[in-house]
Amino acid sequence: MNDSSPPHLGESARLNGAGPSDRIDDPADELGLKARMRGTVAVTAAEDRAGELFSIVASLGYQPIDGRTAGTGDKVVASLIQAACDPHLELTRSQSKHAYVVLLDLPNTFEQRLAAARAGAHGVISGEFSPNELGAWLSECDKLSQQRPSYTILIVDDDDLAGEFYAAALEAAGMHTHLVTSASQVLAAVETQRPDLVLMDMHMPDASGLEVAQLIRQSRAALAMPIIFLSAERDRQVRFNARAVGGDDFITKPIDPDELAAVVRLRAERAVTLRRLMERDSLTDLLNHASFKARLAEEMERSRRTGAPLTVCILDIDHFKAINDTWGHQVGDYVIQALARALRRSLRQNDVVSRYGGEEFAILLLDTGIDHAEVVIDRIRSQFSEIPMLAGDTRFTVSFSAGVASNRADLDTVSIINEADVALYQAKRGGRNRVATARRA
Amino acid sequence: MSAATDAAFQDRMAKLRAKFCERSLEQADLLDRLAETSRTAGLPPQVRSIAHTLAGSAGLYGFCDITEAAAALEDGVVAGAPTAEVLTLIDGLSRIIRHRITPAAEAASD
Repeated sequence: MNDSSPPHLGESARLNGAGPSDRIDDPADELGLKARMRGTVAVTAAEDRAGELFSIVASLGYQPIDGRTAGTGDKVVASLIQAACDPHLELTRSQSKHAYVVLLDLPNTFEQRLAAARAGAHGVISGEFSPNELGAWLSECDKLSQQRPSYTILIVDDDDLAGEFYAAALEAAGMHTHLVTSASQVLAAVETQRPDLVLMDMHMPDASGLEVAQLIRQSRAALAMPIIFLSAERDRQVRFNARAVGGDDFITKPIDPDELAAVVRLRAERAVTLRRLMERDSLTDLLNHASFKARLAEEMERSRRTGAPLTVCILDIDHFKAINDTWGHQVGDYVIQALARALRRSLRQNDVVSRYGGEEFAILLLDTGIDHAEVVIDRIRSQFSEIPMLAGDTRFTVSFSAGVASNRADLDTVSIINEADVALYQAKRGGRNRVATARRA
Repeated sequence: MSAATDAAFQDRMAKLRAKFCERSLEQADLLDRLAETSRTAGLPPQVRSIAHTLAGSAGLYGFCDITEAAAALEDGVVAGAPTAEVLTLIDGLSRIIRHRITPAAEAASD
Protein backbone atom coordinates (compact mmCIF):
# COMPACT_ATOMS: atom_id res chain seq x y z
CA MET A 1 0.00 0.00 0.00
CA ASN A 2 1.11 3.52 -0.58
CA ASP A 3 2.83 4.82 2.50
CA SER A 4 3.86 8.29 1.40
CA SER A 5 3.19 11.10 3.83
CA PRO A 6 0.00 13.05 3.51
CA PRO A 7 0.36 16.38 1.74
CA HIS A 8 0.97 19.60 3.59
CA LEU A 9 -2.62 20.58 3.82
CA GLY A 10 -1.86 23.89 5.51
CA GLU A 11 0.14 24.92 2.48
CA SER A 12 -2.37 23.78 -0.04
CA ALA A 13 -5.24 25.35 1.82
CA ARG A 14 -3.61 28.65 0.99
CA LEU A 15 -3.88 27.76 -2.67
CA ASN A 16 -7.61 27.35 -2.44
CA GLY A 17 -7.95 31.02 -1.76
CA ALA A 18 -5.81 31.94 -4.75
CA GLY A 19 -7.52 34.37 -7.06
CA PRO A 20 -7.49 33.99 -10.83
CA SER A 21 -4.50 36.29 -11.19
CA ASP A 22 -2.27 34.50 -8.67
CA ARG A 23 0.35 32.46 -10.41
CA ILE A 24 0.81 28.93 -9.17
CA ASP A 25 4.04 27.72 -10.69
CA ASP A 26 3.84 24.23 -9.40
CA PRO A 27 0.72 23.28 -7.49
CA ALA A 28 1.70 19.63 -7.45
CA ASP A 29 4.87 20.52 -5.57
CA GLU A 30 2.85 22.42 -3.00
CA LEU A 31 0.79 19.31 -2.50
CA GLY A 32 3.82 17.19 -1.85
CA LEU A 33 3.10 15.14 -4.94
CA LYS A 34 6.30 16.01 -6.72
CA ALA A 35 7.94 12.71 -5.88
CA ARG A 36 5.29 11.04 -7.95
CA MET A 37 5.54 13.46 -10.88
CA ARG A 38 5.41 11.79 -14.24
CA GLY A 39 8.35 13.66 -15.76
CA THR A 40 9.66 17.05 -16.80
CA VAL A 41 8.01 19.02 -19.58
CA ALA A 42 9.82 21.95 -21.22
CA VAL A 43 7.58 24.89 -22.09
CA THR A 44 8.69 27.43 -24.70
CA ALA A 45 6.08 30.12 -25.08
CA ALA A 46 5.61 33.89 -25.16
CA GLU A 47 5.51 35.65 -21.80
CA ASP A 48 1.72 36.07 -21.83
CA ARG A 49 1.15 32.35 -22.47
CA ALA A 50 3.88 30.70 -20.40
CA GLY A 51 2.20 31.16 -17.00
CA GLU A 52 -1.00 29.46 -18.07
CA LEU A 53 0.92 26.60 -19.72
CA PHE A 54 3.04 26.08 -16.61
CA SER A 55 -0.08 25.76 -14.48
CA ILE A 56 -1.75 23.37 -16.88
CA VAL A 57 1.34 21.18 -17.19
CA ALA A 58 1.66 21.03 -13.39
CA SER A 59 -2.03 20.23 -12.96
CA LEU A 60 -1.59 17.34 -15.40
CA GLY A 61 1.04 15.91 -13.08
CA TYR A 62 4.24 16.95 -14.85
CA GLN A 63 7.07 19.20 -13.74
CA PRO A 64 7.16 22.28 -16.02
CA ILE A 65 10.44 24.05 -16.80
CA ASP A 66 11.34 26.91 -19.12
CA GLY A 67 12.26 25.44 -22.52
CA ARG A 68 14.67 28.24 -23.30
CA THR A 69 16.88 27.45 -20.33
CA ALA A 70 16.39 23.67 -20.20
CA GLY A 71 19.61 21.71 -20.52
CA THR A 72 20.20 18.10 -21.44
CA GLY A 73 20.57 17.27 -17.74
CA ASP A 74 16.90 18.14 -17.18
CA LYS A 75 15.75 14.87 -18.74
CA VAL A 76 12.81 16.46 -20.51
CA VAL A 77 10.22 13.88 -21.58
CA ALA A 78 8.11 16.28 -23.61
CA SER A 79 8.55 19.75 -25.01
CA LEU A 80 5.69 22.17 -25.64
CA ILE A 81 6.64 24.81 -28.15
CA GLN A 82 4.45 27.72 -29.16
CA ALA A 83 4.83 27.86 -32.94
CA ALA A 84 5.41 31.65 -32.93
CA CYS A 85 8.49 31.12 -30.72
CA ASP A 86 10.02 28.72 -33.23
CA PRO A 87 9.28 30.18 -36.68
CA HIS A 88 11.94 28.13 -38.47
CA LEU A 89 11.26 25.03 -36.39
CA GLU A 90 14.90 24.78 -35.35
CA LEU A 91 14.01 24.17 -31.71
CA THR A 92 11.45 21.55 -32.77
CA ARG A 93 14.07 19.85 -34.92
CA SER A 94 16.66 19.68 -32.15
CA GLN A 95 14.26 18.76 -29.30
CA SER A 96 12.39 16.09 -31.22
CA LYS A 97 15.55 13.99 -31.24
CA HIS A 98 15.31 13.29 -27.53
CA ALA A 99 11.86 14.44 -26.39
CA TYR A 100 8.25 14.24 -27.44
CA VAL A 101 7.46 17.59 -29.09
CA VAL A 102 3.98 19.14 -29.22
CA LEU A 103 3.65 22.36 -31.22
CA LEU A 104 1.01 24.78 -29.97
CA ASP A 105 -0.96 27.39 -31.93
CA LEU A 106 0.36 26.13 -35.25
CA PRO A 107 -1.63 27.58 -38.18
CA ASN A 108 -3.69 24.68 -39.48
CA THR A 109 -2.50 24.63 -43.08
CA PHE A 110 -1.11 21.72 -45.05
CA GLU A 111 2.25 23.47 -45.54
CA GLN A 112 2.67 24.25 -41.85
CA ARG A 113 1.66 20.76 -40.77
CA LEU A 114 4.02 19.17 -43.27
CA ALA A 115 6.90 21.40 -42.15
CA ALA A 116 6.16 20.45 -38.51
CA ALA A 117 6.09 16.75 -39.38
CA ARG A 118 9.38 17.05 -41.25
CA ALA A 119 10.94 18.80 -38.26
CA GLY A 120 9.96 15.80 -36.16
CA ALA A 121 7.00 17.26 -34.19
CA HIS A 122 5.03 14.40 -32.62
CA GLY A 123 1.85 16.35 -31.98
CA VAL A 124 0.20 19.57 -33.06
CA ILE A 125 -2.50 21.56 -31.30
CA SER A 126 -4.08 24.09 -33.64
CA GLY A 127 -7.02 26.33 -32.93
CA GLU A 128 -8.63 26.49 -29.53
CA PHE A 129 -6.41 25.11 -26.83
CA SER A 130 -7.75 22.61 -24.34
CA PRO A 131 -5.97 21.12 -21.34
CA ASN A 132 -7.65 17.80 -22.24
CA GLU A 133 -5.97 17.66 -25.60
CA LEU A 134 -2.63 18.47 -24.05
CA GLY A 135 -3.25 15.80 -21.40
CA ALA A 136 -4.00 13.27 -24.12
CA TRP A 137 -0.77 14.11 -25.94
CA LEU A 138 1.27 13.85 -22.76
CA SER A 139 -0.32 10.47 -21.97
CA GLU A 140 0.77 9.37 -25.42
CA CYS A 141 4.28 10.48 -24.58
CA ASP A 142 4.13 8.50 -21.32
CA LYS A 143 3.35 5.36 -23.30
CA LEU A 144 6.22 6.01 -25.69
CA SER A 145 8.72 6.78 -22.97
CA GLN A 146 7.93 3.57 -21.15
CA GLN A 147 10.19 0.73 -22.07
CA ARG A 148 9.10 -1.25 -25.06
CA PRO A 149 6.50 -3.60 -23.68
CA SER A 150 7.64 -7.15 -23.28
CA TYR A 151 5.15 -9.56 -24.79
CA THR A 152 4.52 -13.05 -23.53
CA ILE A 153 4.48 -15.61 -26.30
CA LEU A 154 3.22 -19.16 -25.85
CA ILE A 155 5.15 -21.52 -28.13
CA VAL A 156 3.51 -24.84 -28.97
CA ASP A 157 5.68 -27.36 -30.78
CA ASP A 158 5.99 -31.08 -30.15
CA ASP A 159 9.67 -30.87 -31.10
CA ASP A 160 11.48 -29.28 -28.18
CA LEU A 161 14.49 -28.34 -30.33
CA ALA A 162 12.28 -26.41 -32.74
CA GLY A 163 10.47 -24.81 -29.80
CA GLU A 164 13.76 -23.87 -28.16
CA PHE A 165 14.89 -22.26 -31.41
CA TYR A 166 11.80 -20.01 -31.48
CA ALA A 167 12.19 -19.23 -27.78
CA ALA A 168 15.83 -18.19 -28.25
CA ALA A 169 14.91 -15.94 -31.20
CA LEU A 170 12.02 -14.24 -29.39
CA GLU A 171 13.85 -13.86 -26.09
CA ALA A 172 16.83 -12.28 -27.87
CA ALA A 173 14.32 -9.70 -29.13
CA GLY A 174 13.12 -8.98 -25.56
CA MET A 175 9.99 -11.13 -25.42
CA HIS A 176 9.03 -13.62 -22.73
CA THR A 177 8.30 -17.12 -23.89
CA HIS A 178 6.67 -20.22 -22.49
CA LEU A 179 7.15 -23.48 -24.37
CA VAL A 180 4.82 -26.46 -24.29
CA THR A 181 5.57 -29.59 -26.29
CA SER A 182 2.17 -31.24 -26.12
CA ALA A 183 -1.18 -29.98 -27.36
CA SER A 184 -2.75 -31.24 -24.13
CA GLN A 185 -0.79 -28.63 -22.14
CA VAL A 186 -1.98 -25.68 -24.22
CA LEU A 187 -5.21 -24.78 -22.43
CA ALA A 188 -3.59 -24.74 -19.01
CA ALA A 189 -0.71 -22.63 -20.35
CA VAL A 190 -3.13 -20.12 -21.92
CA GLU A 191 -4.84 -19.75 -18.56
CA THR A 192 -1.75 -19.45 -16.38
CA GLN A 193 0.57 -17.54 -18.71
CA ARG A 194 -2.05 -15.26 -20.30
CA PRO A 195 0.06 -14.96 -23.43
CA ASP A 196 -0.27 -12.04 -25.84
CA LEU A 197 0.14 -14.42 -28.75
CA VAL A 198 0.32 -18.14 -29.49
CA LEU A 199 2.96 -19.43 -31.92
CA MET A 200 2.02 -22.97 -32.83
CA ASP A 201 3.24 -25.78 -35.01
CA MET A 202 0.62 -26.92 -37.51
CA HIS A 203 1.30 -30.60 -37.00
CA MET A 204 1.52 -32.31 -33.66
CA PRO A 205 1.07 -35.97 -32.89
CA ASP A 206 -1.74 -35.70 -30.29
CA ALA A 207 -3.81 -33.01 -32.06
CA SER A 208 -3.38 -30.80 -35.08
CA GLY A 209 -2.67 -27.09 -34.73
CA LEU A 210 -6.10 -26.39 -36.18
CA GLU A 211 -7.82 -28.45 -33.51
CA VAL A 212 -5.83 -26.77 -30.76
CA ALA A 213 -6.73 -23.34 -32.20
CA GLN A 214 -10.41 -24.31 -32.01
CA LEU A 215 -9.97 -25.32 -28.37
CA ILE A 216 -8.32 -22.00 -27.55
CA ARG A 217 -11.10 -20.09 -29.30
CA GLN A 218 -13.73 -21.89 -27.24
CA SER A 219 -12.80 -19.67 -24.31
CA ARG A 220 -14.28 -16.18 -24.50
CA ALA A 221 -11.22 -14.67 -22.85
CA ALA A 222 -9.03 -16.03 -25.63
CA LEU A 223 -11.31 -15.14 -28.55
CA ALA A 224 -9.09 -12.26 -29.58
CA MET A 225 -5.78 -13.97 -28.89
CA PRO A 226 -3.72 -14.06 -32.07
CA ILE A 227 -2.51 -17.46 -33.21
CA ILE A 228 0.35 -17.76 -35.66
CA PHE A 229 0.91 -21.14 -37.25
CA LEU A 230 4.30 -22.44 -38.20
CA SER A 231 4.04 -24.56 -41.27
CA ALA A 232 6.02 -25.84 -44.20
CA GLU A 233 5.63 -24.43 -47.69
CA ARG A 234 3.95 -27.66 -48.83
CA ASP A 235 0.97 -27.22 -46.46
CA ARG A 236 -1.10 -24.98 -48.76
CA GLN A 237 -4.46 -26.73 -48.28
CA VAL A 238 -3.95 -26.95 -44.53
CA ARG A 239 -3.26 -23.23 -44.44
CA PHE A 240 -6.52 -22.53 -46.20
CA ASN A 241 -8.36 -24.59 -43.58
CA ALA A 242 -6.54 -22.76 -40.80
CA ARG A 243 -8.00 -19.41 -41.88
CA ALA A 244 -11.44 -20.80 -41.13
CA VAL A 245 -10.64 -21.45 -37.46
CA GLY A 246 -9.05 -18.10 -36.87
CA GLY A 247 -5.40 -18.72 -37.65
CA ASP A 248 -4.18 -15.16 -37.94
CA ASP A 249 -0.97 -15.69 -39.78
CA PHE A 250 1.43 -18.25 -41.09
CA ILE A 251 5.13 -18.43 -40.86
CA THR A 252 6.83 -20.73 -43.28
CA LYS A 253 9.55 -22.90 -41.83
CA PRO A 254 12.47 -22.59 -41.86
CA ILE A 255 12.62 -18.97 -40.76
CA ASP A 256 15.40 -16.59 -39.84
CA PRO A 257 15.37 -15.68 -36.09
CA ASP A 258 15.23 -11.91 -36.71
CA GLU A 259 12.37 -12.27 -39.16
CA LEU A 260 10.47 -14.51 -36.76
CA ALA A 261 10.90 -11.97 -33.93
CA ALA A 262 9.79 -9.09 -36.17
CA VAL A 263 6.62 -10.85 -37.35
CA VAL A 264 5.68 -12.01 -33.85
CA ARG A 265 6.30 -8.60 -32.30
CA LEU A 266 4.21 -6.83 -34.92
CA ARG A 267 1.31 -9.21 -34.41
CA ALA A 268 1.55 -9.01 -30.62
CA GLU A 269 1.69 -5.22 -30.72
CA ARG A 270 -1.44 -5.01 -32.82
CA ALA A 271 -3.25 -7.50 -30.60
CA VAL A 272 -2.33 -5.60 -27.43
CA THR A 273 -3.46 -2.30 -28.98
CA LEU A 274 -6.78 -3.80 -30.03
CA ARG A 275 -7.31 -5.36 -26.61
CA ARG A 276 -6.58 -2.00 -25.05
CA LEU A 277 -9.21 -0.34 -27.23
CA MET A 278 -11.73 -2.99 -26.23
CA GLU A 279 -10.99 -2.97 -22.52
CA ARG A 280 -10.19 0.67 -21.82
CA ASP A 281 -12.13 3.88 -21.48
CA SER A 282 -10.92 6.27 -24.16
CA LEU A 283 -11.01 9.44 -22.02
CA THR A 284 -8.99 8.11 -19.08
CA ASP A 285 -7.31 4.97 -20.44
CA LEU A 286 -8.60 3.17 -17.33
CA LEU A 287 -10.40 -0.18 -17.55
CA ASN A 288 -14.01 0.21 -18.68
CA HIS A 289 -17.11 -1.00 -16.85
CA ALA A 290 -17.27 -4.46 -18.47
CA SER A 291 -13.56 -5.15 -18.02
CA PHE A 292 -13.72 -4.11 -14.37
CA LYS A 293 -16.55 -6.52 -13.70
CA ALA A 294 -14.72 -9.34 -15.45
CA ARG A 295 -11.61 -8.63 -13.43
CA LEU A 296 -13.61 -8.38 -10.20
CA ALA A 297 -15.12 -11.81 -10.86
CA GLU A 298 -11.64 -13.28 -11.35
CA GLU A 299 -10.26 -11.66 -8.23
CA MET A 300 -13.28 -12.68 -6.09
CA GLU A 301 -12.66 -16.23 -7.20
CA ARG A 302 -8.96 -15.96 -6.37
CA SER A 303 -9.80 -14.42 -3.00
CA ARG A 304 -12.16 -17.32 -2.25
CA ARG A 305 -9.38 -19.80 -3.04
CA THR A 306 -6.59 -18.07 -1.15
CA GLY A 307 -8.52 -16.31 1.59
CA ALA A 308 -6.76 -13.02 0.74
CA PRO A 309 -8.86 -9.96 1.57
CA LEU A 310 -10.18 -7.74 -1.20
CA THR A 311 -11.97 -4.41 -1.10
CA VAL A 312 -14.12 -2.68 -3.69
CA CYS A 313 -14.51 1.08 -3.74
CA ILE A 314 -17.03 3.01 -5.81
CA LEU A 315 -16.39 6.72 -5.95
CA ASP A 316 -18.32 9.52 -7.51
CA ILE A 317 -17.29 13.14 -8.19
CA ASP A 318 -19.36 15.53 -6.08
CA HIS A 319 -21.65 18.00 -7.88
CA PHE A 320 -20.30 16.93 -11.23
CA LYS A 321 -23.38 18.19 -13.05
CA ALA A 322 -22.71 21.67 -11.67
CA ILE A 323 -19.13 21.50 -13.01
CA ASN A 324 -20.43 20.63 -16.47
CA ASP A 325 -23.18 23.24 -16.30
CA THR A 326 -20.84 25.98 -15.07
CA TRP A 327 -17.72 25.31 -17.09
CA GLY A 328 -18.83 23.10 -19.94
CA HIS A 329 -18.21 19.47 -20.81
CA GLN A 330 -14.57 20.00 -21.76
CA VAL A 331 -13.79 21.07 -18.22
CA GLY A 332 -15.87 18.15 -16.94
CA ASP A 333 -13.70 15.81 -19.00
CA TYR A 334 -10.58 17.50 -17.68
CA VAL A 335 -11.75 16.90 -14.09
CA ILE A 336 -12.43 13.24 -14.87
CA GLN A 337 -8.95 12.87 -16.36
CA ALA A 338 -7.41 14.62 -13.37
CA LEU A 339 -9.11 12.18 -10.98
CA ALA A 340 -8.06 9.22 -13.14
CA ARG A 341 -4.46 10.39 -12.94
CA ALA A 342 -4.66 11.02 -9.20
CA LEU A 343 -6.01 7.50 -8.63
CA ARG A 344 -3.38 5.83 -10.77
CA ARG A 345 -0.62 7.83 -9.17
CA SER A 346 -1.77 7.16 -5.64
CA LEU A 347 -2.59 3.47 -5.83
CA ARG A 348 -0.35 0.48 -6.29
CA GLN A 349 0.41 -0.96 -9.70
CA ASN A 350 -1.62 -4.07 -8.98
CA ASP A 351 -4.72 -2.25 -7.74
CA VAL A 352 -7.42 -2.18 -10.40
CA VAL A 353 -8.78 1.25 -11.29
CA SER A 354 -11.67 1.68 -13.71
CA ARG A 355 -14.00 4.33 -15.02
CA TYR A 356 -17.26 2.73 -14.02
CA GLY A 357 -19.41 5.18 -15.91
CA GLY A 358 -19.88 8.95 -16.24
CA GLU A 359 -18.25 10.55 -13.20
CA GLU A 360 -18.12 7.25 -11.31
CA PHE A 361 -14.97 5.20 -10.74
CA ALA A 362 -14.60 1.68 -9.36
CA ILE A 363 -11.45 0.47 -7.66
CA LEU A 364 -10.39 -2.98 -6.60
CA LEU A 365 -7.81 -3.03 -3.81
CA LEU A 366 -6.20 -6.45 -3.74
CA ASP A 367 -4.98 -8.08 -0.53
CA THR A 368 -6.44 -5.15 1.36
CA GLY A 369 -9.01 -5.20 4.16
CA ILE A 370 -11.70 -2.59 4.64
CA ASP A 371 -9.92 -0.55 7.33
CA HIS A 372 -6.76 -0.11 5.34
CA ALA A 373 -8.74 0.60 2.17
CA GLU A 374 -10.72 3.29 3.94
CA VAL A 375 -7.50 5.03 5.05
CA VAL A 376 -6.00 4.86 1.56
CA ILE A 377 -9.09 6.14 -0.24
CA ASP A 378 -9.61 8.85 2.34
CA ARG A 379 -6.02 10.02 1.88
CA ILE A 380 -6.56 10.24 -1.89
CA ARG A 381 -9.85 12.06 -1.28
CA SER A 382 -8.13 14.60 0.92
CA GLN A 383 -5.28 15.17 -1.56
CA PHE A 384 -7.54 15.36 -4.58
CA SER A 385 -9.85 17.89 -2.98
CA GLU A 386 -6.87 20.25 -2.71
CA ILE A 387 -5.70 20.07 -6.32
CA PRO A 388 -6.54 23.29 -8.16
CA MET A 389 -8.50 22.70 -11.37
CA LEU A 390 -8.38 25.21 -14.19
CA ALA A 391 -11.23 26.60 -16.27
CA GLY A 392 -9.87 29.47 -18.33
CA ASP A 393 -8.39 31.87 -15.80
CA THR A 394 -10.37 30.50 -12.88
CA ARG A 395 -9.28 27.92 -10.39
CA PHE A 396 -11.60 25.71 -8.44
CA THR A 397 -11.39 22.51 -6.46
CA VAL A 398 -13.37 19.31 -6.76
CA SER A 399 -14.16 16.60 -4.24
CA PHE A 400 -15.46 13.07 -4.43
CA SER A 401 -17.43 10.74 -2.19
CA ALA A 402 -16.65 7.06 -1.90
CA GLY A 403 -18.14 3.84 -0.56
CA VAL A 404 -16.02 0.81 0.25
CA ALA A 405 -17.00 -2.81 0.82
CA SER A 406 -14.88 -5.89 1.53
CA ASN A 407 -15.50 -9.41 0.37
CA ARG A 408 -17.19 -12.04 2.51
CA ALA A 409 -18.08 -15.62 1.76
CA ASP A 410 -21.72 -14.72 1.03
CA LEU A 411 -20.96 -11.98 -1.49
CA ASP A 412 -20.74 -12.21 -5.25
CA THR A 413 -19.66 -9.55 -7.73
CA VAL A 414 -23.13 -7.99 -7.84
CA SER A 415 -23.67 -7.88 -4.10
CA ILE A 416 -20.21 -6.52 -3.23
CA ILE A 417 -20.72 -3.67 -5.73
CA ASN A 418 -24.18 -3.09 -4.25
CA GLU A 419 -22.70 -2.83 -0.76
CA ALA A 420 -20.11 -0.31 -1.96
CA ASP A 421 -22.89 1.59 -3.75
CA VAL A 422 -25.01 1.73 -0.59
CA ALA A 423 -21.98 3.04 1.33
CA LEU A 424 -21.40 5.64 -1.41
CA TYR A 425 -25.00 6.77 -1.01
CA GLN A 426 -24.41 7.13 2.74
CA ALA A 427 -21.31 9.23 2.06
CA LYS A 428 -23.30 11.47 -0.27
CA ARG A 429 -26.14 11.80 2.21
CA GLY A 430 -23.67 12.49 5.01
CA GLY A 431 -22.52 15.66 3.27
CA ARG A 432 -20.24 14.47 0.42
CA ASN A 433 -16.43 14.73 0.27
CA ARG A 434 -16.10 11.70 2.54
CA VAL A 435 -15.59 7.95 2.55
CA ALA A 436 -18.15 5.55 4.05
CA THR A 437 -17.69 1.84 4.64
CA ALA A 438 -20.31 -0.83 4.02
CA ARG A 439 -19.75 -2.30 7.48
CA ARG A 440 -20.77 0.88 9.22
CA ALA A 441 -23.15 2.11 6.57
CA MET B 1 19.25 -5.62 -30.66
CA SER B 2 19.29 -7.89 -33.65
CA ALA B 3 19.16 -11.52 -32.57
CA ALA B 4 21.81 -12.45 -35.11
CA THR B 5 24.40 -10.10 -33.55
CA ASP B 6 23.76 -10.87 -29.89
CA ALA B 7 26.61 -12.93 -28.41
CA ALA B 8 24.44 -14.60 -25.76
CA PHE B 9 21.94 -15.54 -28.44
CA GLN B 10 24.70 -16.95 -30.66
CA ASP B 11 25.99 -19.01 -27.78
CA ARG B 12 22.52 -20.35 -26.98
CA MET B 13 21.92 -21.18 -30.63
CA ALA B 14 25.27 -22.98 -30.89
CA LYS B 15 24.29 -25.21 -27.95
CA LEU B 16 20.87 -25.93 -29.43
CA ARG B 17 22.47 -26.71 -32.77
CA ALA B 18 24.90 -29.14 -31.14
CA LYS B 19 21.96 -30.88 -29.47
CA PHE B 20 20.14 -31.00 -32.78
CA CYS B 21 23.18 -32.60 -34.48
CA GLU B 22 23.54 -35.18 -31.74
CA ARG B 23 19.85 -36.06 -31.92
CA SER B 24 19.90 -36.24 -35.74
CA LEU B 25 22.73 -38.77 -35.73
CA GLU B 26 20.79 -40.88 -33.23
CA GLN B 27 17.72 -40.58 -35.46
CA ALA B 28 19.80 -41.70 -38.47
CA ASP B 29 20.86 -44.82 -36.51
CA LEU B 30 17.28 -45.46 -35.53
CA LEU B 31 16.07 -45.00 -39.13
CA ASP B 32 18.59 -47.62 -40.28
CA ARG B 33 17.31 -50.09 -37.68
CA LEU B 34 13.67 -49.32 -38.52
CA ALA B 35 14.42 -49.86 -42.21
CA GLU B 36 15.67 -53.36 -41.35
CA THR B 37 12.48 -54.07 -39.39
CA SER B 38 10.26 -52.76 -42.19
CA ARG B 39 11.61 -55.29 -44.64
CA THR B 40 9.96 -58.05 -42.65
CA ALA B 41 7.34 -56.55 -40.33
CA GLY B 42 5.96 -53.55 -42.23
CA LEU B 43 6.61 -49.85 -41.68
CA PRO B 44 6.68 -48.82 -38.01
CA PRO B 45 4.84 -45.53 -37.22
CA GLN B 46 8.05 -44.09 -35.76
CA VAL B 47 9.38 -43.54 -39.29
CA ARG B 48 6.79 -40.90 -39.99
CA SER B 49 7.30 -39.11 -36.66
CA ILE B 50 11.08 -38.98 -37.10
CA ALA B 51 10.67 -37.67 -40.63
CA HIS B 52 8.17 -35.08 -39.39
CA THR B 53 10.47 -33.86 -36.61
CA LEU B 54 13.46 -33.60 -38.93
CA ALA B 55 11.43 -31.86 -41.64
CA GLY B 56 10.32 -29.27 -39.10
CA SER B 57 13.57 -28.50 -37.34
CA ALA B 58 16.55 -29.26 -39.63
CA GLY B 59 15.98 -26.14 -41.73
CA LEU B 60 15.90 -23.96 -38.61
CA TYR B 61 19.43 -25.10 -37.78
CA GLY B 62 20.68 -24.51 -41.30
CA PHE B 63 20.24 -28.00 -42.79
CA CYS B 64 17.70 -27.31 -45.50
CA ASP B 65 18.71 -30.40 -47.49
CA ILE B 66 17.90 -32.63 -44.49
CA THR B 67 14.51 -30.92 -44.25
CA GLU B 68 13.88 -31.67 -47.93
CA ALA B 69 14.83 -35.33 -47.62
CA ALA B 70 12.78 -35.71 -44.43
CA ALA B 71 9.75 -33.99 -46.01
CA ALA B 72 9.99 -36.33 -49.02
CA LEU B 73 10.01 -39.32 -46.67
CA GLU B 74 7.07 -38.00 -44.64
CA ASP B 75 5.06 -37.27 -47.79
CA GLY B 76 5.91 -40.74 -49.13
CA VAL B 77 4.70 -42.44 -45.94
CA VAL B 78 1.52 -40.35 -45.81
CA ALA B 79 0.78 -41.11 -49.47
CA GLY B 80 1.21 -44.86 -48.81
CA ALA B 81 4.15 -45.30 -51.20
CA PRO B 82 5.35 -48.87 -51.80
CA THR B 83 7.76 -50.22 -49.18
CA ALA B 84 10.68 -50.31 -51.61
CA GLU B 85 10.23 -46.62 -52.34
CA VAL B 86 9.94 -45.73 -48.65
CA LEU B 87 13.10 -47.72 -47.91
CA THR B 88 14.94 -45.73 -50.56
CA LEU B 89 13.71 -42.49 -49.00
CA ILE B 90 14.78 -43.66 -45.51
CA ASP B 91 18.17 -44.57 -46.86
CA GLY B 92 18.48 -41.19 -48.59
CA LEU B 93 17.61 -39.31 -45.41
CA SER B 94 19.95 -41.36 -43.24
CA ARG B 95 22.82 -40.79 -45.68
CA ILE B 96 22.30 -37.09 -45.95
CA ILE B 97 22.25 -36.73 -42.15
CA ARG B 98 25.54 -38.61 -41.85
CA HIS B 99 27.01 -36.67 -44.73
CA ARG B 100 26.00 -33.25 -43.45
CA ILE B 101 26.47 -33.77 -39.74
CA THR B 102 30.11 -34.49 -39.13
CA PRO B 103 32.33 -32.17 -37.12
CA ALA B 104 33.84 -30.71 -40.32
CA ALA B 105 30.56 -30.44 -42.22
CA GLU B 106 28.86 -28.93 -39.19
CA ALA B 107 31.35 -26.09 -39.10
CA ALA B 108 30.83 -25.44 -42.81
CA SER B 109 27.04 -25.65 -42.84
CA ASP B 110 25.00 -22.58 -43.72
